[in-house]
Amino acid sequence: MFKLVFLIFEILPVVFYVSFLRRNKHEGLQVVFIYSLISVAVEFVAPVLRREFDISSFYFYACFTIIEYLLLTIFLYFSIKDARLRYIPIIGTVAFFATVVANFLHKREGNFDSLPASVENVLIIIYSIIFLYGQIKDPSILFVYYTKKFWVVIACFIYFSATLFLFLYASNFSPQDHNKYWYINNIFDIIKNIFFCIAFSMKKNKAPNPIENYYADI
Amino acid sequence: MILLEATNPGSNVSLVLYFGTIGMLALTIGLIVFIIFHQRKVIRYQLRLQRMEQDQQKLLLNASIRLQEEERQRIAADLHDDAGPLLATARLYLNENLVNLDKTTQLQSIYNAKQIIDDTIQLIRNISHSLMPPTLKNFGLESAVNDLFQKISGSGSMNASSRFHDYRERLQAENELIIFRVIQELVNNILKHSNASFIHLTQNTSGEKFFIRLHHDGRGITQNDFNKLNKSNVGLGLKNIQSRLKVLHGKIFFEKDMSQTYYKVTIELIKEEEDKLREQE
Repeated sequence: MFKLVFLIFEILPVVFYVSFLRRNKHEGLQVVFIYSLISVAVEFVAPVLRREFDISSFYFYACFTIIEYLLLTIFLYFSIKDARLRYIPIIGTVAFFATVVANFLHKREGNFDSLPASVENVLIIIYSIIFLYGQIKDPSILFVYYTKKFWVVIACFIYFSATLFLFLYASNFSPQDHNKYWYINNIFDIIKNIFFCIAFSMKKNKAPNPIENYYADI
Repeated sequence: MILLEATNPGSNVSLVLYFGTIGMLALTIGLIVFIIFHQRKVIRYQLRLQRMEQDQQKLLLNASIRLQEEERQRIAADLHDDAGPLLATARLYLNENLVNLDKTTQLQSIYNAKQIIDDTIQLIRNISHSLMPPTLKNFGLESAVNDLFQKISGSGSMNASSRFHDYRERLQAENELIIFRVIQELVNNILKHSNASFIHLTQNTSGEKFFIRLHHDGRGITQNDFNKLNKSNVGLGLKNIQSRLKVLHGKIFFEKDMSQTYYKVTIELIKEEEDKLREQE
């Protein structure tokens, strides 16, 4: 039952993006849509591939981690307005790929690529904080929560914060432990998808500008 | 469930996992809530600032309207009290010509009427000059200011001098008038309130900036006093200065000289603004 709910919520952002396509045009959310699409594909195709071709979960998760990191970093890189802070995702990406290569060379057993996934979590959290810092500093943005990007970043921020410890321990999990604890990931994945749906369904330029309204009243 | 896991002594991993997750989640939510509340605070602050600015604008607008009304009343009074009686007297003399046929008396009354009409012309010229000084219109700010300072010096009440160091190219006529009015207002204030023995005006430029500085040795005001007076209901002349300079995107600074002996007033304008205004025209 929970698995079914999880799968439904996995599909919902894609449905919302397509349904509100006009609202999401020129909003820089295409990357997030591709990410949602790949997430859905992974949930449905992964079990089949694993069963049919006997591919190890490790490679599977490793590939998904890289794609997920790249897509979200591209989104956050273009969302960060301050040019001086944009070098952080570039440095972070170098560090991330160094970790991926090191992890691939030294440790290929286990079910989960714990180290790259944890590094990814930490880096995405850092980028999210940088993005939010930029939003606070930007005087043209009056209510952050009226922007689509804010909800996407919040979704990532909460998801990656909540799953950091889970991913840190995940490589040491037995299949029983995996089943026991993996619901944490699923719950926060559902929350993330709800936030994505909110972002995709929001109207463009919905933000009421109290200062503009104030002048309009004069 | 979390508590059950946590109380199980054999499950260190789950303890760290749950508390770590809850801790991270709490931090994240805390940060998001902080951002939202901080932004609301910033918005409230910005709105308050804008309200204050609007109040200030209202004060300036009221001051300029009041000044305009005062100016109109003054012109009306000049015309009514001075030009009116003079013209009425001239008419009386001319009327006398119709009644009195004695040639000598007629000539005398025509002469008197002519004198009165000359006085009226002079009076009207004075009113007109006070509205728009002809020196300013024909020869520019430098000549008009020199003229004004010569008149003050000539009265013997105060030693006034002015020097323009870099005024080869005249500013736009409207802008010259605004600057001249500001200088007039400042000089008026110095004459009325400062009890100074001298005023010295200098003009110079530095890069794109145009400066006019006034020095005097009387009692003056500092920037704090100026800001206070600007926000209060008194200080109509100062508000007028402020609103005039706002048109030119100019600034004014009131300060005491380094030696603490003289008061200094600096008017700062940006030449680019002047060029932009010219282009808009």
